[in-house]
Amino acid sequence: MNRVIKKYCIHIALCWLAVLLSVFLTPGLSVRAVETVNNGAEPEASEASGQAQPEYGSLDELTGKKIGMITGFDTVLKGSLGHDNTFVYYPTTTDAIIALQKDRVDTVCVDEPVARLAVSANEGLCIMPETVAEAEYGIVFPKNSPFLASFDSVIKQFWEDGTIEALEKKWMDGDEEGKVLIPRDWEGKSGTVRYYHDATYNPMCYIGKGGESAGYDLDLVLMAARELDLKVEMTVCDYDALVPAIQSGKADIASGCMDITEEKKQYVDFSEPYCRSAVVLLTRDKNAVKSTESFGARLQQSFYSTFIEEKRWRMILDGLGITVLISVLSGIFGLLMGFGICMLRRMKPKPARLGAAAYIRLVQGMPIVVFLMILFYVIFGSVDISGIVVAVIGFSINFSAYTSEMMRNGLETVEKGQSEAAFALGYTRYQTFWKIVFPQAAMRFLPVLKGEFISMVKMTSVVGYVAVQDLTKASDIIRSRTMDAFFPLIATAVIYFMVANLMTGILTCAERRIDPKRRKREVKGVEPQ
Amino acid sequence: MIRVTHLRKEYGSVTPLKDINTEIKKGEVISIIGPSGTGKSTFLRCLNLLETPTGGEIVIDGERITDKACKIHLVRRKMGMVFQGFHLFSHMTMIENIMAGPVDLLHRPRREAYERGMELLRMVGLADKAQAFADELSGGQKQRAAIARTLSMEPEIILFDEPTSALDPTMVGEVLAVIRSLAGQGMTMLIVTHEMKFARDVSTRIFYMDQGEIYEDGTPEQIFEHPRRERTKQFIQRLKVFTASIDSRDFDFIGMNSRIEEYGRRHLIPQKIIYRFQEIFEELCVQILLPLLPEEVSVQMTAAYSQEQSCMQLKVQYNGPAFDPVDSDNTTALALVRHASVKMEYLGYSGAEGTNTVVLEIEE
Repeated sequence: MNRVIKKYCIHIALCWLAVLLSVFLTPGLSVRAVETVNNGAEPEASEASGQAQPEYGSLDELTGKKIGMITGFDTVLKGSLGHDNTFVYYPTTTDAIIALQKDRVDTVCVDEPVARLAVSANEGLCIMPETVAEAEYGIVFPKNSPFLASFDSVIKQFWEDGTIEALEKKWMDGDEEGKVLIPRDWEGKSGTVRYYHDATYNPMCYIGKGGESAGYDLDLVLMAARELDLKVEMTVCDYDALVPAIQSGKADIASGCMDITEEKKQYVDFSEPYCRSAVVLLTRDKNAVKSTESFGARLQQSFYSTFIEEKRWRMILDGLGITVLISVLSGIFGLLMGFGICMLRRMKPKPARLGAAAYIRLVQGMPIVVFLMILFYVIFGSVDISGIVVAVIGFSINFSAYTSEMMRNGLETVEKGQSEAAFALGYTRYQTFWKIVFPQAAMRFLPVLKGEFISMVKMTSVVGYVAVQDLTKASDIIRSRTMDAFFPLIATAVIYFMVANLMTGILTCAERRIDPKRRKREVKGVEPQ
Repeated sequence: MIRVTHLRKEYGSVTPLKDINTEIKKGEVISIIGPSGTGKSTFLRCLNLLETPTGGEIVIDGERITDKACKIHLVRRKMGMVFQGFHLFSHMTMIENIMAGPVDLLHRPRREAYERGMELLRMVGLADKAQAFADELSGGQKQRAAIARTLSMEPEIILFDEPTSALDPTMVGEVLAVIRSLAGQGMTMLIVTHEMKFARDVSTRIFYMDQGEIYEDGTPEQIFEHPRRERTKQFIQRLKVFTASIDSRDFDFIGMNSRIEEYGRRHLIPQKIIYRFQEIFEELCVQILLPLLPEEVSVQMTAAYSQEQSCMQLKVQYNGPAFDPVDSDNTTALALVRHASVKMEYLGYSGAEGTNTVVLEIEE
């Protein structure tokens, strides 16, 4: 046992070393990027320090450049730019901004409020003075929604009575202290609306202090609901999954700073615009100066803002709990289902075998994200079901397809002669399977199964698509809040690594237990003489 | 104890068992011999329904096991089987292999099963291997352990399916010794075997199986010394006599050599005589005769060994024109042949086809 522990220690130490190295290397990279820009600058640029100087001054300079964005901006951009740009799509705005800092893209297209926040939180970025387009954001409704008309009239009223102006002041300029949602103290006699919102779009919709949802969008929806006396059920959801959530009937309303476009109107309805803003381009600032803060201090700052500030560690911990819950439940159910499928595959009747084989082909041939989204938004589209349950169902099915094949291979490696020997002793088919064949097969398939399970644990990082807030989603939310590109990512990687290692350790112990060659050579139930 | 009537087994187009009828009494030790592929193993495997018969009836201790309603696993408990490939449970130690049946099936207390198991292991000489796994044992040890496992269920009948065929020749003896001692204890046994001497010594009855039926059934004395029917006679004759024919210049030289070696081993012929036999085969048949023969090569070799005189008689017949090997130009080969044999005699040229015959004698 000691040897095992020692081996693990070395293993973990090595991995930490790799993580630390990457932490040290990443800031180095970002500094180099800034320096290159500085070298290219004119000498007098340093005199003008303090004044931001965009790398690209106008839209004309962007011909042939790479533009990063989240989905939805391409239509707007195509209207104002030529057609020879490459669009690079990112899952969250934060990722797009990291790409900009890393020179992967030349500019990033975002909504103005987000752009302002990004510039204030990140060194070396600025907003291009020329805007791309005016933008109007609307609340999303399914076609023919009964809520649309009433929300529209309330929003109109808000524009007139100055509520909108107050909201803008509260969320875009005001001090951090005031950025809390209105208390939900009305009765809600007129019914309930299910509201899906993005949470990675500070200041419009994000997770604020102590893990509470916050943002302009949410505040507005709540105020409108108070006006209409509606109860609101809020669900955090990936931006890309908002429209599917509306279309499938999972949500009654959705928002995520979504601009109103003709294209989207074909599928969903929009309310009156609740916020008028602009789509702008972020670029690197040629005048940016290298940070003078020491690496240690920056790391400390990152650690503080990622974990300590606003008790964000709680969000991480909750996310971790969800990740582990989904993994373990899917592991157990997947294993049981896999066993069932494997038995079907070994049955004599042809339809059973073919059915099981088709099931395996189908599941193995589908990306898990797509499969999860189909489950959540199509198959269970009209059922009120938690994303966690759907994730467990999805991953169980996925895991079962792989484990059934592993079990089958394992069972096939047990030579037929041993079953015959058991039959000849008088074992029934059932006894032969459980006492003779299965224990030997388990010894052979468990090591492969272990690897598959660990890879499933890591695969669960996509559950954000079905409105589940797991570890990855928590870190995305934190990144969008702090606009700190690297530290949360690396911290998440380290947490996944530790979880995966712990689970590997547990499974390895189980594996050793069932390996007859490794256990003590004594006969159970008989004291040694 | 066992009654078999009109037993038949078909697989698609082949019929390994055509029509088997026999009755076996308690305490009989029956060896089943015969050429390969005549259904010996299939017959044995039908007796405990590891193969499902296509037709006929098997009654064991008054129970008709070919009936659908028969609980075959209960019948199997009193009818053990030892396999050619041992089939020990590889995830258990030897003692666990032996305890498994009594504990799982007969619900014996573990302590009792352990003691009985150790007793059996001592009986087959493997008490010190109780904690070993199958892959840590030699073939002979594995087979002895497998016999002990079969005995642990206290069967009334044991079926041995070629128990020594997968063993290294040096290990055959130890396994046969164990089976022999069981025979001495009055166990009812059916043994499919190619070990003729053993079959003859240990059995009370021999089944000669050929072409899917029990072709001749009799005492060892009758079958081995005075077989009554034609094919039995041929089989017994072939056992004692080595015959081989070469009908192509590209024949399997290495295969022939190993056949000669195996023949020697079966009949306990001194190694030196076998070496000389092989030398004569190579020098006389391959070096001297083959180059001289016409396109349609035909060489026949027949060898018989006499234990009493420890001497081997070898007859070589070949086609082509009349030719005495003594006249060969290949003097080196000829010298080697003369050196290996004590006598070489050319018997002349005969027959319409024209056949030369040479007789040689080999001594130790």
